[in-house]
Amino acid sequence: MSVTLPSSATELFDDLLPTGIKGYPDKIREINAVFGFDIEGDDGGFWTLDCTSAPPQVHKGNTGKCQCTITLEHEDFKKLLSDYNAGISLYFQGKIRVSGDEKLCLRLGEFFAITRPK
Amino acid sequence: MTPEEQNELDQLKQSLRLTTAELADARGKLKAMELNVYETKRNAEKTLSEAKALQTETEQSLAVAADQMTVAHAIGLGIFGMAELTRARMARASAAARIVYRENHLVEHLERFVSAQTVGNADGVKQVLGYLKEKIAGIRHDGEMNRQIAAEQYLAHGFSAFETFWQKLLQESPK
Repeated sequence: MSVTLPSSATELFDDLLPTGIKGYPDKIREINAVFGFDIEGDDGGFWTLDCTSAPPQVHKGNTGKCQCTITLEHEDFKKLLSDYNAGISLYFQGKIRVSGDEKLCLRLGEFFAITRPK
Repeated sequence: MTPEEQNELDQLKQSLRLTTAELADARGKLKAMELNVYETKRNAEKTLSEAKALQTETEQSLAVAADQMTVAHAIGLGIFGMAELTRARMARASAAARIVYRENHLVEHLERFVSAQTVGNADGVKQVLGYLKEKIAGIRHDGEMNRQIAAEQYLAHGFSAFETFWQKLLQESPK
């Protein structure tokens, strides 16, 4: 069984992430924030990642509870799926826009540490 | 007063007038220098003040940029991490599936291996086999992905370790 990265926002948010977060409910709840992902362009959409609910959940659409929303083009989003360093250049090019409490984005980075042994 | 003395006196007066004029001129120049120094000092203080203000502004801009860079980096880590989360989940499922397969394969192979041998230490061998089965079962039920992958490696090593142990038993057991 080969393990590959998700190739689109739909695949990540609709299929893989809901399954993925079931493996780490407690660690994700520690993030304790509700994020919105507004992916623009073809095959884009809006998803809400609720790290406060028990268990954490991914919702299709805007539930109205987003504390921090990240907006970017789908093509740019796909770059981040395989290269986390792309975030800095995309942000300073203005291709990633954040609305709401920008500081909560710092907690989003904790997803990176979840799968890595301490 | 003699004409010579008068002449000398006139020359002295003339010298004195010149000296007085030079002194006034020197005083004027000194005053100008003082003003110049004062202006220079004022300009230097103003430049220093502007430089400090610019430094403060630059430091604040750098701090803002650093904050933004941290946010940007966190967003990149977060989205990548979510993708990794799914990979880890899938990798763990793969590892678990491989462990189940190998466990069944290993135990089956070991049992065939033991039953195929006719040596005086069969009870000892069976005890070892039982121990290995328990060990494998205990590792398999551990939920952490990294330990499951380690268990997979253990199974691979455990099999070769058991073969080594078995060969040693064959050499040591009475014929």
